[in-house]
Amino acid sequence: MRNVIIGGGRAGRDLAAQLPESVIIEINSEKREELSELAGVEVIIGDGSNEELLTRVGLEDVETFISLTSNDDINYRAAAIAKKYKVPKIIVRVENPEDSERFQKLGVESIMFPTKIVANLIGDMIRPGFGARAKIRTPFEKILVPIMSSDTVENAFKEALFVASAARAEVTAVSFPGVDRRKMEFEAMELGVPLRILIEEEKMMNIIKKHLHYRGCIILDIVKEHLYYPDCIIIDHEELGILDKLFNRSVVLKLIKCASCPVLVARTFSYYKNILAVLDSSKASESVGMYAVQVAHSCGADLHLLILENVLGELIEELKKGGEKGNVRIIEKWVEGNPNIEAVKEVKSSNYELAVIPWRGTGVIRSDLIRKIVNDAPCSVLTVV
Amino acid sequence: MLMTLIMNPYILLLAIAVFAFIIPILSGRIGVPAVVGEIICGILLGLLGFSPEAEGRIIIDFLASFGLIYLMFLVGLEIDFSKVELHGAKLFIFGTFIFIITLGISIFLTTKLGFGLYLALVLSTSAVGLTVPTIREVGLLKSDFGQTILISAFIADFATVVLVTVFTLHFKEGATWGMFLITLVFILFFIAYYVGKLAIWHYPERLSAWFKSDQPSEMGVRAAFALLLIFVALAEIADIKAIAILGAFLAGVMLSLLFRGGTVLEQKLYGIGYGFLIPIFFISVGMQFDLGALARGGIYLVPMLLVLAFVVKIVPSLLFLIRHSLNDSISAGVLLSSRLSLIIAMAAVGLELGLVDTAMESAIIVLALITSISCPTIFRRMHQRK
Repeated sequence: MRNVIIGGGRAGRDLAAQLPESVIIEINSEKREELSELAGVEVIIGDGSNEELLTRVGLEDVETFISLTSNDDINYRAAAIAKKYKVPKIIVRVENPEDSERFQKLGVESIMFPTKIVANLIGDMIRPGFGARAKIRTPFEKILVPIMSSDTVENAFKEALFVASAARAEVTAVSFPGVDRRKMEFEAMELGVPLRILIEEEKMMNIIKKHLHYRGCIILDIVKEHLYYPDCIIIDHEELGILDKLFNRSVVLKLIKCASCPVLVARTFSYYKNILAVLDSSKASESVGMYAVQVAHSCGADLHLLILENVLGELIEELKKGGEKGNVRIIEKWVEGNPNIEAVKEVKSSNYELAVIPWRGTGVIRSDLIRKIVNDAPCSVLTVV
Repeated sequence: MLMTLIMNPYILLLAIAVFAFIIPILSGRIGVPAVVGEIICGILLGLLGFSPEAEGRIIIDFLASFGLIYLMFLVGLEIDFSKVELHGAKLFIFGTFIFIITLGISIFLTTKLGFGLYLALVLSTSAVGLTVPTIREVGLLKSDFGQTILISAFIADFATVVLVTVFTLHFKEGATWGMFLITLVFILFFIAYYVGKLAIWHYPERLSAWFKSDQPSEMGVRAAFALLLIFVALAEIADIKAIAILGAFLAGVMLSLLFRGGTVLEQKLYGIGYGFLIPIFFISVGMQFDLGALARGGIYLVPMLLVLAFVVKIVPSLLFLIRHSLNDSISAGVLLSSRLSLIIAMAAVGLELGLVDTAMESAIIVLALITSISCPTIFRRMHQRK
């Protein structure tokens, strides 16, 4: 199991230092000496987007392929070769967010926009009133992921790591004993996310899987024993049968009902580029808008506001101001026609990686529609309290 | 010559249309609901001998009968189940308790007084259409108190329509056949609701156009009428009026459940109803209002009905004392005592099925006229004083 890093700049070098058994490919021969100091790292001088070189390095046993050069074209060509040789995990740095579409078309699931994320981060630091109201807060600091099965590591856990790396949050996973702990730790390390894994007995995990809401909220109660109070739970999307839907037998929905913090149902497993916030005249829209701006700010994403009815003008103004402060491009869409149908249309449009909605319907957006979106939307869904 | 003119259905329609136009302006000035004005206008027309015959009668009767069905459809459309869901089981149970006590007292009193069960059901109705604007007017729409009254009114109206259908079917068709039909209607309702939900999720693009104001084919209105008429046609095939009433009501409830918030379509449907069909029903109710029957005995029923109407609503409303003041509890009972469209519709159905006589029907109409004017006014006064 090896990692291949293209680009021996600062980011590449720091990453290689954290990941022994890595091969680092750098075009500038002057850097050879500096890079050779890294223990357990093989240094190759050459063009990382050259197929011949990469085949010589050998991509067959590569676990993760990370392209970190500052040139989008090189990163694209390198990622395309890695994709061709079926490397299981490809992470790419994209300088120009407008380039992201071609990377997505290529099928690269993990795309980072460091320029925008760093710009937003620096913006936060130098803005007057740092730490006070004027600052755009990170949406979450402590993310909890219940590992329901080994698939969760590839799904909800992966998405949690992306969100945490963008929001500079830590992740706690509650898991059954047989989970591939090493793999989880390795992935968290790759993205620089502090990770804690709490192993629970198989019996307890079965109760958790079956009844996330058991006697209140068992998953929250368990982490409370470790003095851990998460501000977001990221959970796998749940496959429901017709009968389960008819009788509302959804574990995720019950968790959303009993948890006092936002719950994110993971379906995207990558960074977010376009986020949809569904707003109506209810009070919950304030939280929806606020979280949406914060997540968009952290991920460097665009925020689309779907305004279903006459929302308080002040709220939209406030969100716009927040967007301006946080360097978030805000696109408003005022709905004409039936609000619920328009909400479905937009959520299902595949234009968004994340939809932010209230956890229950108190305005024109109805609770049964919220349930449907949580269960069946094609994108990830963040329900906020 | 004059009689020939009067008998012409278009002249009759013209007369009704002109009155339907003038009445809301006049009733707005006097401060009474337009429905009250329409019934009084109908009574005056009846007194003037403006009674359609033959061809005219058939047309007016048909339009009035369709107006009644459409009215039930709009009553269903007014019921907002998201409110029940939003406020959880507690308010729903509270509202159901209030209705059960109302029904219990109604049955006890009407039986003691020697009237049938049908009157007990009729007296258990409320008037969602009056309750919502009154509560909104005094600024209580978003309060816990206001929502409890609303949910109680929703439950009363919904349960009464279902119970009246069960009762009339049982009365007319026998228990087994009646229950079978009701169950069938509810199964149809749930299937249509489920299919509607799936359609919204799977075909939002197509459905979206139905609710836009610039839709030239008015697909939303056409779909709503088709939905309404499925139930009505089924009822006609089975030759059971009560099923048509319940079906139209459930069609309205379904539209409300599936598409609430789509103001454009709702406004169009309200426009067709309150702009044309429903005034014909109420004017026709007024024209057929039997003043003779009222004078012969109905007038003596009015005070008794009034007392019953208030008692069966105010006594259960004392349950409000658990969380609210005595003034609030009584005021809730008073507002729930107001009756209008639904009770008149129920009286019309009862008369057609022979469950109430003309004297009782006239008395019920007078009761509706009095309570629809007085109850919201008393409620407003009780809250303004605070």
